[in-house]
Amino acid sequence: MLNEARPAAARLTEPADPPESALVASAAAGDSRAFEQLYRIHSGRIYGLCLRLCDGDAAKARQAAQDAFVRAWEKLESFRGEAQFGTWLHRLTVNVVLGERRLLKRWTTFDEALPEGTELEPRTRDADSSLAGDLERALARLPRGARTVLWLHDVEGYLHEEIAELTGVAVGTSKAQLHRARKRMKELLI
Amino acid sequence: MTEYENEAPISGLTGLVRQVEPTEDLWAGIQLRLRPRRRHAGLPIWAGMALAASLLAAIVLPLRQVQPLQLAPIGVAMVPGPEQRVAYFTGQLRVVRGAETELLAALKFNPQSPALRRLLESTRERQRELRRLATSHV
Repeated sequence: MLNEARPAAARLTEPADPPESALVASAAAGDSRAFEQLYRIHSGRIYGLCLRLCDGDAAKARQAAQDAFVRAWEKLESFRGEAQFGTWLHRLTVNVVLGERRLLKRWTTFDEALPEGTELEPRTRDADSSLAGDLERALARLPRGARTVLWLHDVEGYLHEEIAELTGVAVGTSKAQLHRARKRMKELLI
Repeated sequence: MTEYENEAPISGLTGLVRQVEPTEDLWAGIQLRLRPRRRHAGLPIWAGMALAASLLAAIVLPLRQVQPLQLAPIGVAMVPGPEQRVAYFTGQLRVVRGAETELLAALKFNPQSPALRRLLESTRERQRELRRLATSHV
């Protein structure tokens, strides 16, 4: 599912797609063509994540996605293969996007919901789908901190300890934000 | 905080869209910012082979000296005590494994190279030989 959106524009010169581990090894050794192939494989996943973390702001998400891939190139030699490359890249992206201090200061307060009617990318699969549409609209109404914790924990599967490490908030704050987010979502979905 | 532990997640969230292709190709902007790697930048195939061959030579020459010296008195004179023999064989194995790693990396650039494959087989044969010698001398 994660690799289903490989762009048609990607043209691999090898007769068969090399395994991802070979691409990672080549890229770590300095092969930018191999890294481009890794970009093609993971761009949809990473850009989609950036859109979520940037409140649907496409321009910010594009910049964040570029920053993430550049950071991945710089850190690639430290990738030891303990996890899948996509998992490592995902975590690095969260670190890049949420690492700014100006975001961290707002995490302890339950405010700053986006104005009602704000449309967030990504669009739901079915624009008129009632459940998905309701969920997206409810998500948009959450404060940024709560929405981010909810997404990272309940959708992306991050543990509170990982969220705390990536964002600089306490584990207890992450748990509290998740609780408030779920509670508010239930209120909005009634 | 135990009140949160049994709280159910919101149904349907995991079904929301997570993968979105950017409306424009971001690669050009990324590529401009990629700094070439200093340590491994553009390791050509011949460099990988040369490195592996030099590592192998560091092993093969002394090993050829050791092989006819498997006779215990000369071998012992060359590597005096059991601890020293363990250290000797450990060190030699480390070098040979390093050569194998470099060869495998070079093969990723050129997987069909017969020369690289021959070198890799030689390296592995040397590892087997070292282990056999280590077993009989330690």
